[in-house]
Amino acid sequence: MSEIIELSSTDQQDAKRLDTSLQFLSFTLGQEEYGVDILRVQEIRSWEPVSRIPNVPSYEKGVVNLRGAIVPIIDLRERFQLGHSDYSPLTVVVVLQARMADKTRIIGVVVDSVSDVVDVNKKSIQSAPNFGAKVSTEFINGLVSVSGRMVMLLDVDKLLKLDGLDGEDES
Amino acid sequence: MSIDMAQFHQVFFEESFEGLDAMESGLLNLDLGDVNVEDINTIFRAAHSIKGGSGTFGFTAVSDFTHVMETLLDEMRDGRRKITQPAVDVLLGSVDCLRDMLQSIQNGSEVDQSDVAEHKLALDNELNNAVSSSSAGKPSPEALASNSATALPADEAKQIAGWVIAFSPHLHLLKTGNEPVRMFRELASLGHLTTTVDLQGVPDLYDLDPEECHLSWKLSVLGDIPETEVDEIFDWVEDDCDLAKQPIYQTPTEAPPLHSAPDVAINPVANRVTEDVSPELTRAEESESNSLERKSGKKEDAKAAPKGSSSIRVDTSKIDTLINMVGELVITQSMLSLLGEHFELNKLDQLKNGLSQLERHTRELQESVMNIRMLPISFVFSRFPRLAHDISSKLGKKIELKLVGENTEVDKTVVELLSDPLVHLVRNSLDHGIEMPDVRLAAGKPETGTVTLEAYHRGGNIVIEVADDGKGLDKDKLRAKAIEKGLIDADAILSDKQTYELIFMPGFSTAEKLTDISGRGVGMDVVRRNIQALGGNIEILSELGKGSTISIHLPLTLAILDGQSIAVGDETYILPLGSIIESLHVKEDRLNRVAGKGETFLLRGQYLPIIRMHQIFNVLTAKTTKLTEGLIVVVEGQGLRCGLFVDDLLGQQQVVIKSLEANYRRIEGVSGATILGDGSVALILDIPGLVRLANQ
Amino acid sequence: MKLNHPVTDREVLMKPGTILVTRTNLKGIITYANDAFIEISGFSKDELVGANHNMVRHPDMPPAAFQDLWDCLKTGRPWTAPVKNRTKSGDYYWVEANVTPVFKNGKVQEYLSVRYAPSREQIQQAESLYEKLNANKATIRPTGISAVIKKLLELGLWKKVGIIYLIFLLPTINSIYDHYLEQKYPEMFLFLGLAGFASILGYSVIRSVVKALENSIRICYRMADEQFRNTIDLDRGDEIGDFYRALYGMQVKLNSDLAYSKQVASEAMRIKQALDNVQSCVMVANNDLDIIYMNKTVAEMFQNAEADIRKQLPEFDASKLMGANIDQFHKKPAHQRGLLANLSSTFSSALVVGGRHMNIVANPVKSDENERIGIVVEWLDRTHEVKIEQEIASIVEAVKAGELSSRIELADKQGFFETLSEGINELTDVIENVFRDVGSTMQSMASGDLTNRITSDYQGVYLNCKNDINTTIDKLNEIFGQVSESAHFINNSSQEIASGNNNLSQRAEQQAANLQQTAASMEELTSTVKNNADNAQQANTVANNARELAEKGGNVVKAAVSAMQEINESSNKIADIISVIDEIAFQTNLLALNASVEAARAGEQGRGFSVVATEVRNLAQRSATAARESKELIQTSVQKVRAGTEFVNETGKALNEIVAGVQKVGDIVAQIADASIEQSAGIGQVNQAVAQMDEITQQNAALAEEASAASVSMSDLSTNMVEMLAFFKTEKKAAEHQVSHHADRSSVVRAEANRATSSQPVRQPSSFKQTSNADDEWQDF
Repeated sequence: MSEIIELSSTDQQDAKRLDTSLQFLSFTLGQEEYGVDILRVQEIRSWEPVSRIPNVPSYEKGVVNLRGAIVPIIDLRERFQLGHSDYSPLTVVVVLQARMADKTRIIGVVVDSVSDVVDVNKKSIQSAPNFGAKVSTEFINGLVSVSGRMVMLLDVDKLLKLDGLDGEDES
Repeated sequence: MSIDMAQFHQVFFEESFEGLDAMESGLLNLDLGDVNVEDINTIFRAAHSIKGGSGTFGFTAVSDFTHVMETLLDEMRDGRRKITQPAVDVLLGSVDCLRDMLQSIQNGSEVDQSDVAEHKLALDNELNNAVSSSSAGKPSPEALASNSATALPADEAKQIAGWVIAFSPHLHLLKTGNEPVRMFRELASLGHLTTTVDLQGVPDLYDLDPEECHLSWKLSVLGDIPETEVDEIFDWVEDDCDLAKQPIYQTPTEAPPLHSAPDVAINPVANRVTEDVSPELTRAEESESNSLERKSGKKEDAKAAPKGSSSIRVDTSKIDTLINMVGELVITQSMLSLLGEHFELNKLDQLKNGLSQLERHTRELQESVMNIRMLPISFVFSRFPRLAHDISSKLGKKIELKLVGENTEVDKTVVELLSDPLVHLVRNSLDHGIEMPDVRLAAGKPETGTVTLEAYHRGGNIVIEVADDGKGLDKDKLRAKAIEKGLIDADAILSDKQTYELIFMPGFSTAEKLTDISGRGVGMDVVRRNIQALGGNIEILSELGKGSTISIHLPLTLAILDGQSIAVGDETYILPLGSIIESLHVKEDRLNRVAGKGETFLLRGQYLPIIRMHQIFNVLTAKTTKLTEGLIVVVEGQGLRCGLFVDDLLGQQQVVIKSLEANYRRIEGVSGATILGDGSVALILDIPGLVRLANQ
Repeated sequence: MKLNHPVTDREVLMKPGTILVTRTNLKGIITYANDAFIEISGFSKDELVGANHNMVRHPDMPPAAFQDLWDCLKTGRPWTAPVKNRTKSGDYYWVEANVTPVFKNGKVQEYLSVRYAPSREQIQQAESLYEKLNANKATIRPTGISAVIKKLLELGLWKKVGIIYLIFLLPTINSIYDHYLEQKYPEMFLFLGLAGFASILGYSVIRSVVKALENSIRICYRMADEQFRNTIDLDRGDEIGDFYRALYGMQVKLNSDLAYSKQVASEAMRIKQALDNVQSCVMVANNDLDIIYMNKTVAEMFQNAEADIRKQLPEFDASKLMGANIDQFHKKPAHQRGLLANLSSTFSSALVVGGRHMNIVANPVKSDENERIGIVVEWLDRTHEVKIEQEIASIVEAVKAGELSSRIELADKQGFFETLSEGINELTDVIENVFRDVGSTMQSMASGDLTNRITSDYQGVYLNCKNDINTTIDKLNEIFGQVSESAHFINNSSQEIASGNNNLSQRAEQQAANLQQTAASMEELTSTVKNNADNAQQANTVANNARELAEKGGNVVKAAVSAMQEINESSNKIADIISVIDEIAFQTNLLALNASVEAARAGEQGRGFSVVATEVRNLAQRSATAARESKELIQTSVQKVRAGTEFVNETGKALNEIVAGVQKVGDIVAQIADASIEQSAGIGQVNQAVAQMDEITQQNAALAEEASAASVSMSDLSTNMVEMLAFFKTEKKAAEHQVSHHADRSSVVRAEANRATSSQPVRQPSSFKQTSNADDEWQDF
C-alpha cells in the first residue's frame, strides 16, 4: 500500500502560504472594515447574553457556553475604542482560534456585521501604516483593498494576546 | 507504515505496562515452597505478549530483553529449573528494567543501556547458574560492568542474513481478522521481501468462497532480522496456518550497530502521535483512525482514546450500560418528537412524563459517563506489594501488606494524583512505622509487622487508610522536635490531634537518621498539600507502641462538585457545598466596622471578616447593600473563615466543573465555571481567592 | 314483790258506814269491785276489773302479812287484819280487811274481800306491828312453846272430855277401890278430891262451850238484824274456833250480799222515780200484755181522753187501766197481740181512738239473759195538734187559691200555734195589701193613666216590687214623653222629606237630559282621538323601518371595521413573518459565512463549496433585501389599512349616530301613538262613565219619585202615630195640661224658630203647618 500522508492544518496552511491567494473573513466595526484569516475563524454566531466576569476590562464582556466549552467574548468595538453599540440578536460574534504558546484558545469577538469571505492575493497586501493612537498597529498585519474598500487585516494571535488573555504568567 | 503503526503504540504500551504489573504481582505472590504452575504461566504469558508486541512494533531491545526473561520463565514453567528467591528477585529487577525501557520508548527518551545490560547479565547469570546449579549471588556492579562488554558481542554473533518462510494459511484465516498482505508488509519493513504465490489451491470460480484463503506463499526476506521478529509477525496466525521458516546466514561484519536504529525510528513516531492528538484533530481524521482500528481487528473490548496520557481502560459492562442508556434516550427523544408534532394541550401529562423520563435518562447517562472515569483503586494499590517487598528485604524487616477494598472505584484524576502521596505514606509506615523483628519480639508483638491499605466509600467521599501496627508516634518526641525546629513555641499547648498534625508541617522529620527511603523532612507537608489540592483532607491517629493510622478523605471525582447557587444581583455564582458552614441573617448589633480594615461580624464569639460579593465583583444590580438585609454565608477554605455577603441562596445542585483557563484566563476569586440548566455559565467561587481579593 | 309507786303521806278516810267489796278469782284477779271501792281507790272500774288485786297494795305493807293471808286462804280459812291500801294517786287509806274464800259445791271458787273502816287504835297497833314485821322483829303467828301450848289448848272438845274422863275415872276407880280395900281414907279422899277437880274441869269445858254457843247465838241475832260487825275470835283452835270461823265467813258473805242488794234496790228506785216524773206517757206491760206500770203522765193522758175514748170503747175506764190488759185499747186485740208477741225491736204506729189521735212506740224489755220480760209502750196524744194543722192547711190552701179574706181563729190557740196562726194571718194581710196596691196601679196604667204610684210601705221583695212598678211607670212616662216628642218630629220631617223628594225627582229628570247630550259629544271626541292614534301608529312603523335600515347600515360598517382590523392584524402578522424571514435570512447569511469558513479551511477541496456558500449568502442577502422591501410595503399597507380603518370607523360612528337619531324619532312617534291609544282608551272610559252616569241618573230619577211617594205615605203614618200617642196621659202632659195653652205654644214656636235659622228655609212652611196641626190635636185632647 502506498503511504498515507496525513494532512494536518499546519500543512495546509503551509500549502496556502505557498499559494498566492489567502482567504479572509471581513467584518465591519463602525465605518471600518477588518479582515481575519478565515482559517482562524471557528464559526460565526449571533449574539447571546454572556455571564459577566468580575474585575476585568470592560471590553471583556464575559463568557458563554459554546457547546460545553467556556468561551470569553470580547467587544472589538470597545477594544478599539470605537464606542459602544447595543447588542441585539442580529449582532454578530465571530469565534476565533488564537494560538498562545502551545495552546489554542477559542475566543468570541463582537463585531458590527460580517461582510464577506474575501480572497486576497498575497502580493496585494500592503504593510500597515501607523494609525496613531486610535488603533494599535501592532495587531494589524496589513491592509488590502477589496473592491475599493480598505480592509485591515488583523493578526488574531497578537490581537488576542494583547488583550492580556495570556494566563500563563499567572498560573 | 510507521504512521499506521503509530496508532497502536499507545495500546501496546498500555498493554505492556499491564503485563508488567501482572508479572510483578505474579512474582510477588509466588510461594516458593509450592509453586503453582498456573502462576508461572500467567507471568510467562505476560512476558510473551510483551515480547511479541515489542517485536511487532520494532522495539527490538525490549523484545530481546524479554526473550531472556521468557527463556528463564519457560524453564521454570517446565520444571527444569527450581524457583528460587534470587531468581525471583532477578526477575523482579528485570520487570523494573523492562518498565523503564518501555517508559523511555514511550516518552521518546534514551533507554538507560547500562541498566538494561546489567539486568540482562543478571538474567543470563541466573540462567547459567541454574544449569550449573550454582547458588545465585548478586553480582557486584563491577562484575556487571565487565560482563556487559563481553555479553553484547556474544549476542551479535548469531547474525542472520535473512529468512525463507513457507506460509500456507488455513482456509479460515481471513475470518480471524488476519490479513496476509499486512503481514507481508510488516515483513517488508524488516528487510527486502520477495513473495511467490502458490495458486494451486485456488478452486474454480464457481466454487470460490471469497471469504476463504486458498493461497499459499513462499516468502524470502533478506536482512539482519532476528528470528523473534519474524515469529512476531506470524505470532497471531500460528494456529491458523502451516508455517515453516529457515534462516539464511550471513557473515557478521556487515551488521550495523544495533541499538541506535530502533530509537531513531521510534522517536519521531512517538512525537508525531502525541502531536497529532490535539483538539485540532478533525472529525474526519478521527473517523479514519477509528476505521483503521476496526480493520486491524486487534481491538478487544477496551476503548482507547487517542490522547497520550489521558487514555483510559473501561470495563465493557460500563460501556454496555452507557449504550443501553443512550438507547433509552433515543426512545424518549423519538417519543417526545412524536408528541411535539401533534401536540395538544391534553397531552400535557404525557409531555411531562416524557420530560421527566428524559431528565431521568439524562441524569443516568451523566452518572454512567462519570462512572466511566471511575477506576478501581487497585491501580494505585497494586504497586505497593512490590514496594513492601523491596523495602522489607532492604531493611531486613518482616512485613505483611494487606490490601482491602482494592475494587473501590474513584475518579481517574484522583487515582493519578493520589499515587504519589500514597507511596509516601506507605513508605513512611514501612520505614518508620514497623520496627525491626527483634524489637517487635521484645515488645511482645508478632515478628511480622502488618501494614494495611484500605479503601472504602463513605458518602460522596472515598476514604483511604494506611494503618500499621508499628511503634506509633511519640508525642513528646514530636513536640520536642517541633520546638527544636522552631515550629511551635516551647509553651504552646497542643491537643493530641494538633501534636500529630505537626508532622504535616514543612521541614519536619522525626527520623533520627536519614535513609534513602524517607526522612528527608519534605514529605508529609507535600503530601498534605497534594491531598488538599484534590479537595480532600488527611488525618492521623496514633498510639504509642501500637501503631498509627493515616486516613485520607477525598471526593470521588474532581469533575463534579456539589454546589450551592447563590444570587448576587442578576448574577448567579456557585459555592462548593463543602465549604459552606452556615448561612444566616446578621443583626446590626453583631456587626463591627474596623476602620480601614473592612467589616466583621460576631459569630459565636468569633469575629469573622465580611466579604461583600457585590463589592468585590462590582455587581451593580445587587438587591441590597445593607448587611442586615441580605444573607451572610459563612464559608471556610484552606483554614480561612469568612462571611460572604450575598443577596440570596438559590438551589443546591451538582455541577460539572469547567475550566475557565482553557480559553480564557485565571480570575482571582473564581476557581472555575459551570454550565447551568439554562445553558448559561456560572462561576464557581474560590474562597481563598475571594479572601485575597478582599484584602487587596 | 310488787311495789306500787308513787306513794304520798296523804290519808284518805273511808266514809263511815260504807264497806268496800271486791271479788277476786283464785289467782288474785279482781272480778268485781263495788262503787265504794272504786270511788276510794281512784281507779276506774275498767282499770280494776281484770287487774291483779295487789295493784292497790301499799308498799308499807309487810310481805309477811300477805304471806299469812295466802296461807290462810289456801287452807280454806278466812283472814282478817288491818291493811294499808294505796289509791291511784298514791294516797293511802286503812281498812279492816276481811277475806274469805267462797265455796261452791265444797270447792273454793273465788275470794271475797269486805273492808270496813278501822278504828284508830287498830291502825296504830297495825302500824307498829307492820313496822316490826318489816324489820323482822315480830311474827304474825306465835312460835315455839307458845305455839305448842296454843295447840294443846286448842285440842278438840271431845279429846279434852276424853282426857278428863281418863284423869277422872281410872285413878279414881283404882284409888277408890284400893282405898276401899285398905281402908285408907285419906287416900280415898285424895281421890275424891281428884274427882272433884275433874268435875270442875269438866264444868269449865262445858262452860266454855256454852259460852261460845251463847256468843254465837248473839252474833247470829245481830246478823239477822243486819248488824254484821261482830267481833269473832278467829284464832281459836278448837271446834269452837272452827265454828267461829264459819260463822265469820257467813257474816262476811251476808254483809256483802246485803250491800249488793241494797245497791241494786236503790238503783231501781231511782229509775222508777225518774220514769214517774217523765212528761212522756210511758206504760209497761208484761209478756201477757197486762199493764204493770203507768207513769203519771200516761195516767193523766188517759184521764183526759177518757170521754173521747169511751165514744169508741165504752168499757174504757182510765182509773182501771193498771193491771188491765192492753187488749182493751183495740177492737180486734188478736192482731195486736200477734204483733206484740213477736216484738223484738222498736214498733211504732198511729191510731185514732174516739177522735183522738195517738202515736204509739212499743219496745221490748229484755232481761239480762236476753229474754223478753215485757213491753214498754210510749203514748203520744196528737189530737189537738192535728186539729190546728188542718186549720192552717185550709188557710194556706185559701191563700194559694188567691182567697185572701179568711183568717185563722186565734181564740183557741196557745203557745206555738197561737204565734204561728198570728203570723199566718199577718202574712195574708200583707199579701192582700200588696196585690190590692199593684192591682189598682196596673188598672190605672191600663187605662193610660201613668200618674198612679204605689205608696204603701213594704219591705223586701214587696218593696222591690213596689219600686220596680213605680220605676216602670216613671220610665214609661219618660218614654212616652220622648216617643211623643219624636213622633211629632218625625211627622214634621216626613212631610219635609216628601216635599224634598218631589223636588229631587224633578231635578233628576233634568240631569238625565243633560247627560244624554254629553254622551253624544263624547262619542264624537272618541272617533277623532282614534284617528289620531292610527296615524301615530303608522308614523311609528315608518320610523321603525328607517331605524332598521340604519342599523343594517351600521352592521355593515361594523363588519367593514372588523374586516379592516383583520386586515390590519394580518398585515401585522405578515410584518412579523417578514421579520422572521429577515432573521432567517440573517441566520442563513451567518450559516453561509460559516460554510465559507469551513470551505476555506477545506482548501482547494472546499473551493466549490465556497462558491455554493457564496451563492447561498447572495440568496440570503437577496431574501433579506426582499424581506426588507416586503416589510416596508407591508408597513405602508398597514398604515393605509389603519387609515381606512379609521375612516370606516368614523363612518360607523356616523351611522351609529343616524341609527340613534332615527331610533329617537321612532321612540317619540311611538310615544305619541301610545299616548293617542291611551287617550282613546281614556275617552272610551269617559264615554262609558257618561253612559253609566246617564243610566244611574235615570235610576235616580225613578228612585226619587219612589222616595217622594214613600215620604208622603210616611208622613201619613207619622201623623197616625202622633194621634195614637195622644192616648197616653203622661205626667208632662198632665203638667202641661194644667199650664195655659199660650205658654205651651210659644215654647214650640221658639223651638221651631231655632230650627229654622239653621236649616233650609224651604222647610219652614211645613214646619209651621205641623205646629198648627199639633196645636189642633192638643186642643182636641
